Amino acid sequence: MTLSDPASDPGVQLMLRVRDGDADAFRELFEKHSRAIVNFAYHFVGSRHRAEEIAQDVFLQIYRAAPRYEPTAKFTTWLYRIATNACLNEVRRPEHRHPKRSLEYQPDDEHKRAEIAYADPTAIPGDSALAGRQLGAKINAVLEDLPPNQRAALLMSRVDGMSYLEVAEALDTTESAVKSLVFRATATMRKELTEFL
Amino acid sequence: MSATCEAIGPELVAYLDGALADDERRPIASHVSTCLVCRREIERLTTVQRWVSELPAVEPSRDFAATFWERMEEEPPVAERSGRPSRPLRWIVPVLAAAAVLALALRSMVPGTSTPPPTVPAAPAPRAPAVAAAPKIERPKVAAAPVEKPAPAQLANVEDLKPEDLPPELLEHPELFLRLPVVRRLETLEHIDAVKREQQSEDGAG
Repeated sequence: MTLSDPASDPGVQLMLRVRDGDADAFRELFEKHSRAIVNFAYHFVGSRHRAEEIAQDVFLQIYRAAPRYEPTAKFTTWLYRIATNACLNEVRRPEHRHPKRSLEYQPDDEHKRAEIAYADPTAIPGDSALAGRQLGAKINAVLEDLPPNQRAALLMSRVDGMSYLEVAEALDTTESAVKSLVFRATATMRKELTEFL
Repeated sequence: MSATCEAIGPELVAYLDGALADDERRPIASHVSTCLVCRREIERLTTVQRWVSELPAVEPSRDFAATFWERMEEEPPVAERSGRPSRPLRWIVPVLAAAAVLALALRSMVPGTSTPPPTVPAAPAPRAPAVAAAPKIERPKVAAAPVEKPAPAQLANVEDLKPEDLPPELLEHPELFLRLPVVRRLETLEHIDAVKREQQSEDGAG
């Protein structure tokens, strides 16, 4: 499907049904996409609790916007644009700039997440669970320190598998700007993770 | 590291992502095929990309969906909202309020119309012709006119008016404002005032 033909996007078709008052279509959209948005927001803001609240807010916004909805892009492009704005608003909040890491990032929690991520011993050199946990914690820390627009572009392209063009539409920028954002984010990750390479 | 390596370095991520046009991709592919340094860099970048793409997917908590649908219960159905204008004409309220206040003020200036309330025909009366050419103009027969609801009662809470309080057709077609009784009454009051002044003028001349 091309971006110039949003009407053929299944998400767009569901959203048009929502606009016409079809509650089942909205439920289907929520069930299909809410988990991905929680995941995206989780990697963006670093807190599952806040990620869930953000995802709920995103779908409430979509529901409230339904009467005015006009399909101009793929549904997911629109969805991630709303989600990115919500995440950017969250990380700009003063409370988020000085997070209580002792509450949000307990070492045990970090290790647990890393173990889930890299349980496959071939995932990293050293073949040890400890190295996997350290890698997971380090990736989360580097992600958190990336500038928000780089983080958004990296997550959308890497984790959510969106093309540069789709990311550009979601971030309301150009494809070449996305290329630059993804490159800089990856270069930073590569530099900060040198010890694991 | 050669100058070529440095030049293509910023393009390597897009190269790996298949985001380059053919004419951008070919020279990089050609260089990489002969450059061990760049091949090694591509391996590292590929590994980093894989690590990021394999970040642990967090599962929403058990009550995530239930909490969301609870919040949704407070939302009106889409169909209920789609019939309303997406941007209500918010300017109509202050305009109506100002017009009503003006009408009240003018009305209070016309002797004999503040108490009891005016009992003039609802339809706008014809304006008086020019004074010099005017034959005798009859006063409106107030007692015989149909009785309307008292104006002060209608306008008592004018400052509290909200778009929801106004007829939907008025929001859609603001020109209907001119047909509002208060505006029509304003025209009538102006007419009465003009007639009175003419009458006084004639009495004075006679």
